[in-house]
Amino acid sequence: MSKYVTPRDVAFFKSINKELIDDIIETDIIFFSLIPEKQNTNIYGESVDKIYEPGIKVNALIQHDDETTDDDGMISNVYQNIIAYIHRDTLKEKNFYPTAGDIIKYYNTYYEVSQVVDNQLLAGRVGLPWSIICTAHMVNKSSISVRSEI
Amino acid sequence: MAQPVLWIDNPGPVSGSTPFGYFDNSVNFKIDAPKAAKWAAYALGYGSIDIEMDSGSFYSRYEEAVLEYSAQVQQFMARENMLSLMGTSNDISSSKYFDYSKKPIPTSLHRVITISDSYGMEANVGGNVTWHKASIELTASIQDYDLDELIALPSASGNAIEIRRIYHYEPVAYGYGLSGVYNAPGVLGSAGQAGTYGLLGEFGWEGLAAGGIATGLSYTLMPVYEDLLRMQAIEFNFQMRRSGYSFEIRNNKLRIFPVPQANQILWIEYVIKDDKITGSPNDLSGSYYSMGNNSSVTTNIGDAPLGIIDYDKLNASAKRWILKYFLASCKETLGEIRSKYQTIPIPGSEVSLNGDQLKQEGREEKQQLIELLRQDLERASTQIQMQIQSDNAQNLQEVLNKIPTGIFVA
Repeated sequence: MSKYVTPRDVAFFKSINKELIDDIIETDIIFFSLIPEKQNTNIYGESVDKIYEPGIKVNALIQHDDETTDDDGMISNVYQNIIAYIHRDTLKEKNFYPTAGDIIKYYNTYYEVSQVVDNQLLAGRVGLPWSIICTAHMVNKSSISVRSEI
Repeated sequence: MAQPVLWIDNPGPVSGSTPFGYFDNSVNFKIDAPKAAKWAAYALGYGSIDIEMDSGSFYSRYEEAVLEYSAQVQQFMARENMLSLMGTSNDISSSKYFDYSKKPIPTSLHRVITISDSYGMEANVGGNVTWHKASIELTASIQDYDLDELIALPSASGNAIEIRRIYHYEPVAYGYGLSGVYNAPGVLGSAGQAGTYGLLGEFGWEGLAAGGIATGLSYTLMPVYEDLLRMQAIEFNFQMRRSGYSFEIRNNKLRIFPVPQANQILWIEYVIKDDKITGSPNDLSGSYYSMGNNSSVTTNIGDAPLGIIDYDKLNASAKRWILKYFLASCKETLGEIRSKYQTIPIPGSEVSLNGDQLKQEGREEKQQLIELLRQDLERASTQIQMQIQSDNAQNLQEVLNKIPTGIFVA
């Protein structure tokens, strides 16, 4: 056993993360996981009506850009990107792993996950993955069909 | 999977949870420690944040706080009473052993007297070093004598010696009789006892002529110091004037002045120099042992028989100090835990905890508490208490002096 980053140290780090994310920051998001096998696709293989699993609520650290508006004179489109940092243990407890295409509901707004990064290791040690970072962009609720229930 | 060490609001048992277990049998300690742990946990933020210490960590800090209090008090007691404690038994199996944390330290002049022994030895009025006696034979016309050769080697096994007294006749007994008085050449004359008698005669007291030996003289009452002065005068006279010789010692060579004219014996009293360091056994009764040869006696502040104070007898102010020190100690420990790593990884970033700040706070508070306790202890010292008593008495006297005196009206 190594002298540093022992199982007790790992437990300590986890408790700090849990306290920080769950008890202090307390920012929750809801993941809606895409169900690929249930997608209705057209003749081009495009999903016109995506189907998602019921939402999974997790706490995360959110970094968001400022909203931008694209006004073409007819309608206004609002754009915003967010990055959700989720502790691996949190997801493990929920038995959930996000993938691109999943929907994140944050602050009554929906974002589609466009990138998932899973390379933060505790103390750089393989076998101690620490986080999952999801980059997502804002989508219209009308363009997705998520169920509101969790 | 290891579980994180966190305080839960349900402290475990105290017995067996502290490193030393000094207070496992103390009823009050077992009652107070869980309460103190809970109090400290809340003081450190429990309820809002996690505290990364379990009940065992808290109990060990509480034990440390009590031990620190005990150490400070007992060190003060040892400093305050060191002279009384030196020489007391510190052998717990001895019947003379007492734990002075549980009973008052006896006031004793034992050590002072022991110290004065060495002064007495130097002043030739007692002491704890044995005087040895030897003689050398003075030879007519030989003035110098090697004391190393004549005394140190044959009589003191070659040990260094220190000459304390040299004489060439046995000290004579003082004579209260007339022979001692009248034969003292040139000292008393008419001013001694004879002078007193003579003076009486000159005043017309019949039968009291100078040198009178009338029985009636015995009825003249003289003060005691008159006798003492006379004894001293006689002794000095014998010592200084009856010997026609003097001497000097240089590099252990004795030179006699003037050159001896006849063979005679010269007596020398000396001590062995090492004896002045080791002393001689100096047994005293009571709880004191001989300092010289016993290794089971108190010799310094570190081996004085002062055990750990009885927790069950601590008063409220002592417990309050212990609580404060305990909290400071918990801060330091928690700071150590939180500063093992400078930063803690969180998803996508890292954070720093307040470990360094807690450590610094804890250490400063501990230092301040110790200084406060030491100040309080100093104020309780015998010297300060005496000063306070004296000041109070003087102040009271001043107040009383200002009370108007009643005027007596007949």
